[in-house]
Amino acid sequence: MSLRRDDLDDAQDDALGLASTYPRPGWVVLDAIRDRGFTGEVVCRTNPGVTVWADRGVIYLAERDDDPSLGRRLVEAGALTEGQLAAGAVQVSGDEHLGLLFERVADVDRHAVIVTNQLLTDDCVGWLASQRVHGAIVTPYRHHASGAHRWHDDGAPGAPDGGLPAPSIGPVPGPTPSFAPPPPASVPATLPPPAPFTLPAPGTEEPPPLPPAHAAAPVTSLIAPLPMPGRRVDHVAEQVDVRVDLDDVIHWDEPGWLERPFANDPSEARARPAVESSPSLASAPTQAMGIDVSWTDRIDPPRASVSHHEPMARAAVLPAVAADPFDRFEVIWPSGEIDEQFGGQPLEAYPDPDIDRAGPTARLVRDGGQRDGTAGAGRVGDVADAVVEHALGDGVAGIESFLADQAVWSNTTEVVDHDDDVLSAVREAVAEIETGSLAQRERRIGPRSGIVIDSGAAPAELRLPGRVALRDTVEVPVTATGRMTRPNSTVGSVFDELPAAQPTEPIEVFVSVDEGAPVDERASALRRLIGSLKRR
Amino acid sequence: MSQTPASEHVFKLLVTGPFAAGKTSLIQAVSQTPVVETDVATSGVEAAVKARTTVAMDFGTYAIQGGDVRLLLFGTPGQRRFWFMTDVLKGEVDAVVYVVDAEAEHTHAEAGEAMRELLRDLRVPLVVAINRCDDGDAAELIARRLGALASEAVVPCQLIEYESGRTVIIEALLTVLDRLEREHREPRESGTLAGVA
Repeated sequence: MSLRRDDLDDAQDDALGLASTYPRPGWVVLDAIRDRGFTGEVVCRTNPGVTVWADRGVIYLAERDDDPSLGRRLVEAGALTEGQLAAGAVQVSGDEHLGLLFERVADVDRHAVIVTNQLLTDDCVGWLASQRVHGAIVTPYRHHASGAHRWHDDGAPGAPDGGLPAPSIGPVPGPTPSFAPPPPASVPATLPPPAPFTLPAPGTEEPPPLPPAHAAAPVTSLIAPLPMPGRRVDHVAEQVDVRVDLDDVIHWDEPGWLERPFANDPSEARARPAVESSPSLASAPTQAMGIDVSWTDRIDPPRASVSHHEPMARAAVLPAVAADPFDRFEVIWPSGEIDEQFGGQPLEAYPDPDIDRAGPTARLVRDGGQRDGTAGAGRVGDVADAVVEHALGDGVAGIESFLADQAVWSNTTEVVDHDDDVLSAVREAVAEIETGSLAQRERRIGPRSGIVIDSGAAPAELRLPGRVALRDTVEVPVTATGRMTRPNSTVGSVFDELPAAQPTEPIEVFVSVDEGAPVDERASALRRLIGSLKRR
Repeated sequence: MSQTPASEHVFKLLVTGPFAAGKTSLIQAVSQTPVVETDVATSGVEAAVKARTTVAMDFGTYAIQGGDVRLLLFGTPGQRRFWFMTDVLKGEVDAVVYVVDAEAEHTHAEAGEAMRELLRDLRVPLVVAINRCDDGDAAELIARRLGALASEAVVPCQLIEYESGRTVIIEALLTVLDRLEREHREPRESGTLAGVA
């Protein structure tokens, strides 16, 4: 059984878990490569030196230091001709890159090349297995410069017809297997493929499937407690008593990894922080369900991280509550009065919010005084719609409420400091625009006598400064492009409370007729405007 | 009840752009009336750039003699947390003036993103005003980097000077005029073709 790649140490030298244990037999190094599912390059200190390249634990190429280049070896073996090699190789920084050999030269016998490469590799690996390795330089994810790993792009190197198969392992020769270093080049060839070997995890119906690269488990894995991250492979092998019967060794209900506390594995700790950090939370649901939570519920198959593989005791853990619950609702009535006892009195006493648009507004309140809202710098997009609606509908009140939310919810204290400033600035600006523009408009349109809308009310009864009176009776200018439309009529704002200006004469409300005006006229007006600006 | 149609023409420009780009200065350069500002004192990192900043809008007007043609200038706050005001103000605009400080390169990426976002659903002419820049080519380069189209006007300017600000506004109005004329011309042409067909 292979270990997860997550468990590889950060230090490259210990990627195989063999650091500071050299010299070791070559086959230990090879087993470590396979067990770790290692991908990359391992330079073994032997005489001569041997470099091994593996992909997901499967060795796809191995060569001695004094070997000629891969292309040259393939030519010498007869798998390639000189011409094919010249045409198929791409010179990359002085190296023959053969990754596109089959694409560049159509008449190359792909199978011949791959099989030859396998034989050459097997020969070298077999030789290495019998050697004593005095050290190894491990470089994860470095591939052979020839690009040979690209020959297996259709799958793992060990996949059928996709590349080099994993070194095959034959049947265990009897109940007392020998662990003497195998003879060179003979062990991989004589060991038949093993039966699928997976340990069933307690609480799961099906064991997690193993990827193809891990299908071929070494002999040591078959008869020994499975090596786990942080445990050295040689330790596994050396623990095995070769005289013991296999049936006596395999104990399904006492997996070896129980020796290791969960907290030692950071990835597992991350996977279920609530269980580890809050035992009461972890056990409560299962206890409530009458399930006995025992140590078996904590068994986690080393590579089964998917939730449906996990026992019920762990799956029932709920995430931590992210926000404090709200304590109550407050109702803000149009008058500004805040009803903190919402629900304590009948709503009939107030206007029907479905009829009167200035109905009450509810807000969520925590005891800390914070209101729940989405306003904030990080959620401008969400807030914009609401604010636009309120700004158009409720005018300053809408903007005011947003800015108040901004001030309350901002993480920075600066905004809070400027809360009053911002609100007063907005109030003054809108007041100036509305009252100022109205007065200007009245002065301007008086002599020109625009369309008079007879509202049926006596002039003295008109209430002008408020937005209600203005927007309910006045058409707004419409541009020639038709984009300007009547704004939403409003029903109230903070300026409604201002004293009404008394008109001195009947108001002739101006109505723009731009919509029907010829475009020429508008263009002409624009030319005049431009000319005026230029002359200024 | 008398009904005498009054022919008033109102043009609305939206002046927007990143923080401290010169939007308020641009409006002040043109507005005949005192610019309605919603400035408050800055704090934090913004205080290092300028003392006060717009939090809701700037509003300025310009009218020609007789008052029947008016130009409304709406300026937006530059800070991202107040961008919602741009959505409030962008309705019914005739053109957008996007002001960018050429020297504040750290704002350009966000400015380009905001500009493209704004114009995605706002089919109006765009004028990119590159403030603190005198080189037309450099301004062009910045504007294109922001995502401005080749057909969109780019004006290098020094908005600290009123004359430069007026140039920007005039350029914006010219783009509006060009669009008006094109819209006026194209329906006629299409109508003629339809009649022939």
